[in-house]
Amino acid sequence: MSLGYYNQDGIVKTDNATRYTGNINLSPSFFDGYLKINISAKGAINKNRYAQSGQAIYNATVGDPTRPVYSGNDAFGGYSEILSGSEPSTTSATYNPLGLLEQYDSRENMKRVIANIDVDYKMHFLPDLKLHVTGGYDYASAESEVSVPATAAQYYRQGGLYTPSGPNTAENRLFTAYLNYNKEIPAIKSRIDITAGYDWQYWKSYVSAGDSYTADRVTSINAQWSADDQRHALMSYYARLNWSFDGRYLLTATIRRDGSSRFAPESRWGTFPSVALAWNIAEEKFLKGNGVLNNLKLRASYGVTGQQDGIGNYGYLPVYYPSTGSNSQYVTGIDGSGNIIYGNYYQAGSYIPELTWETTASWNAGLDFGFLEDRISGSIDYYTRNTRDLLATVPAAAGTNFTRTITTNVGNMHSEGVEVNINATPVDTRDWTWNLSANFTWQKVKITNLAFTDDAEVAPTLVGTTVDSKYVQAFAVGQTPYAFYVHKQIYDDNGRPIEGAYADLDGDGSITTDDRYFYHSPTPDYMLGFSTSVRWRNLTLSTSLRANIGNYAYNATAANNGALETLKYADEALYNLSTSYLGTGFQTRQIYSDHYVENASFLKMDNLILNYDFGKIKDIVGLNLSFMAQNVFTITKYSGVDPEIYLGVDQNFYPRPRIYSLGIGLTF
Amino acid sequence: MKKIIYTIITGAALLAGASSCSLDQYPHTSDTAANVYTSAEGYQSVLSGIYAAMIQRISSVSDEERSQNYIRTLMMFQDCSTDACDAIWLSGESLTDVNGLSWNASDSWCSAMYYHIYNIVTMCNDLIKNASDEDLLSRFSESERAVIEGYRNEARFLRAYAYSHAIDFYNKMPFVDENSSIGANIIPETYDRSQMFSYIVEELSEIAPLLEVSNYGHATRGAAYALLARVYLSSEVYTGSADVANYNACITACRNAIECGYSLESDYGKIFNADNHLRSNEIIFALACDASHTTTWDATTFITCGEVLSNFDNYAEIWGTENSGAWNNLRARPDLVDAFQSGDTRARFISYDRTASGTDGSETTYTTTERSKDITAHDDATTGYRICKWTNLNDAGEPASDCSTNGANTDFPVLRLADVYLMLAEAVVRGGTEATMSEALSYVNLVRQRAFGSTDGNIGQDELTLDFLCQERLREMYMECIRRTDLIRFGKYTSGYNWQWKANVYEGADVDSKYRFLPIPEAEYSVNPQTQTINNELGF
Repeated sequence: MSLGYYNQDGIVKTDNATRYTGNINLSPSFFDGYLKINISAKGAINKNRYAQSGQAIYNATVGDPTRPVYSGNDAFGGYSEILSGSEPSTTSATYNPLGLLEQYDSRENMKRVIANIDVDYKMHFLPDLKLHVTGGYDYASAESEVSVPATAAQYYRQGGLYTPSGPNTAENRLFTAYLNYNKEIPAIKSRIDITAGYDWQYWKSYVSAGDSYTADRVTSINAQWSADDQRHALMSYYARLNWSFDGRYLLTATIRRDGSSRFAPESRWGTFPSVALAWNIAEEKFLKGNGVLNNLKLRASYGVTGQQDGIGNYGYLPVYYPSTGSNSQYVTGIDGSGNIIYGNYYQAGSYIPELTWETTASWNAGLDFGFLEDRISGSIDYYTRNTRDLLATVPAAAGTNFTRTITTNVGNMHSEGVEVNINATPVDTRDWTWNLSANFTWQKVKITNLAFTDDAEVAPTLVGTTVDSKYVQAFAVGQTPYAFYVHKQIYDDNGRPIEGAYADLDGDGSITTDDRYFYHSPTPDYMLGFSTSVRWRNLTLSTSLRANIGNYAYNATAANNGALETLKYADEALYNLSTSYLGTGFQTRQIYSDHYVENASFLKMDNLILNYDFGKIKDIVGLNLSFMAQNVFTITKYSGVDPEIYLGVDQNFYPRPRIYSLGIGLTF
Repeated sequence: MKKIIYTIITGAALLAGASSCSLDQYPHTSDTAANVYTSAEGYQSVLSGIYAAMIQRISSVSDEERSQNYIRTLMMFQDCSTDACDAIWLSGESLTDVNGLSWNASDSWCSAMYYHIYNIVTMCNDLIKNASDEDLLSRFSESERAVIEGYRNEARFLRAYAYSHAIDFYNKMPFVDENSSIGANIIPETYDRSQMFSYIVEELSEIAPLLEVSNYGHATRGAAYALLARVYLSSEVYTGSADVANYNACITACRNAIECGYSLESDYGKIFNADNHLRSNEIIFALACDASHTTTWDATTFITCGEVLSNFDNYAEIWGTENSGAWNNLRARPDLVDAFQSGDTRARFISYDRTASGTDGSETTYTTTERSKDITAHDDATTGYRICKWTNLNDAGEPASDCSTNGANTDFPVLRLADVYLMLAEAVVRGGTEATMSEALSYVNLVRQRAFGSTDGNIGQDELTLDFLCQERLREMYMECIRRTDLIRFGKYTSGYNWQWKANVYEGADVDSKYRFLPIPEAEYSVNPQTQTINNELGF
């Protein structure tokens, strides 16, 4: 049984999370240990306050930085705002970022229960055969409230905001049962381990319908939303054989059949086999007992896996969504006394009847090694993967579906890579220990086929986050997914980009959208990791560093706010310009310029820890003191806030915090 | 005892887990085709969804940046790229290319227009497909079938309406109907304008007699005939040749529409106010916006609030857009202002700014400052006249709704009688023989008499020329999403006639003739490769 408390403030003002936890564990055992049951239950109460961080960061980025934070009078809570006459301007899209945080009170109260039952039963008639059954249940329910006073400029015209929501629930059920037979058979120098099992998982989330009100908490502002119910289940049957012969040869074979509720009954099931072989060379006579090389293992494997994450739950079904609330209706007729009658309506969502699993077939060959009792150890792996029916969100041909973009099986992809891991302990004495660990990955990913481009040469498929509603990334055969697809900027003699001057790559004498080219991608070519720790007596200093090389990012903040036209949009407010303007002098936004595709390679020190272990004090309490810094430094040429940008388009980035913490550990 | 309890708990929990295993998971807060198309009400709700998609934001298209809504997007091209009105916020809304006729295949508004059109078409196809099969409809009683078939005919009208924009914006375009499939990796057929012209004309001719004569907020018989007339009138643009038969067909369609029993509303301003749902005398088909039931932030809310420019105290007295502030979106180009003679009540402009200076009894007094009629600098919202054609005032002259929380109450008339009169007259001037020139003249003068409140504005037969009609249509129909189509038909859109800020230059300049068309958005190239060819043929 245990209890916990946790409290953390976010990097943006007013962000806060508080958590209370408790748990109970019962592990009775029966029939002389042949039957073991483990029952555990955890409960948590989370109280979070969420800052309006996206809005605040955007407004802090584009707002006029020369305006004071406070106006000196009481209007709008004392925050200085852009006014038209005496009221906040309707057409000014910027608000005081501090006001957006401090006048916006969003609180969530979440309760969560997690219960698990594990049953382990060793068969009485055959103790090598074990049955394991797990049932799990996870339920969370949250209610939240957003309050903004009527004086806040952001909701001034409607008179503030009050949005109660919930209860919103999330539920996860798990049922697993497997039989395991594990036997050493000396007669054939073998050890076999066979497992056959069944898994079922189920997720359900429910968002209650609701409405928003003005600060008086009574007057609706006509922003009703509908309830939403999402359910998803996965079912698997699988079998696995581990066979080890003479400690030298290892075979692992698995086969699994997975079903997902996200696909139609006829395309729901996938069969995914895998085979792995390993040769433990160090156990061979010619190496055994050798004092230098203590581990040498050669591995090879082939396997197929299926993927269905990140897609909608009902993507194969024609779903009709009812309109929300009494203000999303349409005229259905006139009644007997001449009154107009209104009724709610349906609008359909997109669907792909033949949607199915994305499958990846991987080959892997690797070598593990260890020298000098593993003082130096490591592994080298080479892999190649072929992904079929890649699931991605791409444009839909107009007239063939109900949305502009659809998430569907788009094509095939090939990737290959090399991974190297090395661990070493150069020094290990009574007073000193020095550990080192490094890893290196090289990877290459290319699209090999797109479903809709069987024959002809076809334009790239535009994908990704749009910047000022323009796509800057694309899929194309032979390119890395999400590669940047932009114009090649022409620079003057001083190295300044010339506005609107791009290379005429197709040589037709004019600059059109056909002149764009593929220029790098968000995927790094190399990823490096390094960590080390040095101990002197009870004092340990450790750190870990990470580098990505060859990853590029599109600096959308620079592109979108870096032209003179974005300083003023024909109204009373001035906007902040990105400093990229100093380097470009652009009058109008040049979203397609490769100037904004920047090398985002980086070296980061993720943490640095100094730890002192005082040991047992008076034989009662163990004391441990540590000082930790996280996100210590980043070395990069990238001009945005942070070079690590998921999928490569840097827009409204929530800054990663640098955290200093002091830890005191007591053990009794 | 303990053992038994544990066994029971465990057994029960595991049994419950195991027995609930199923991969059949369905939505519970929305419906699927299997339970939508099971009642007349289900069909009706799908049909309502199509109408609503014309005026409200629709999540499937409008979630994309700058996609707004069908009517708002349509107005950007049909009015703001013409001599009628000027969109003020160019860079802020990425409208520079639309306002200045310089778009390309990556323009977000071009993209929005295209997807809005095809979204309506796809929604209509879905309803029609589910209402056209004999087997499907055999599930219903005779009277229910009649009701559902009525909905189907309205969907066919809405599809034809969306396609009437497709034929107007594109030289060649995808064609899908109720026989097309829904899914991924499907490439629609391409139609050229002649094919699409035949298709629309055939559809409208077939359904017109089947539609109700009066049906508020819905497609009516008159609407089908009026739209048919509109398409026939531009037949030379669409088919490449002037054919008297088409002008005669236009005249016949106009007559059929007129025979549905419409008459001109005497007060021009009341066609565009918040009580315009009462104008069923003149309005043939309107998209019904309603502040409490069909709230829109685009369509007429955008138009009425968008007309309100800063520096005008108590603006709600004029525009009825209570609490909305100045949206600063739309102003008159001087070319529009100058198109009017004095005495013409359709010239609904305000030439000044006003500031409350005090009170005189219960009346507020104002000091006014004249604005420049010319839009001297484009990013200066204090120049150019204000437009007050569209309002959210009721017939009593009071604001009809709180525009800041509910939007405007004004319907958007899609087709109305004055348009039909002018179309009939134009078809005669273009060579149609099914009506006489004096009949044509009388229809034009009916429109003029309403405008002037007397016969002072009447014209003579010698004045009834194409040039006159081109200007008369501007005066009557500005900001009604038709001006671009008219200018192209009169050969005055891309060159030979320039207005202020056309081509993004102050005095206006000719632009390439390819701007008679919109490019198909480039996102379409990879999934429908023919679209790239369509664009390249035009020079996009």
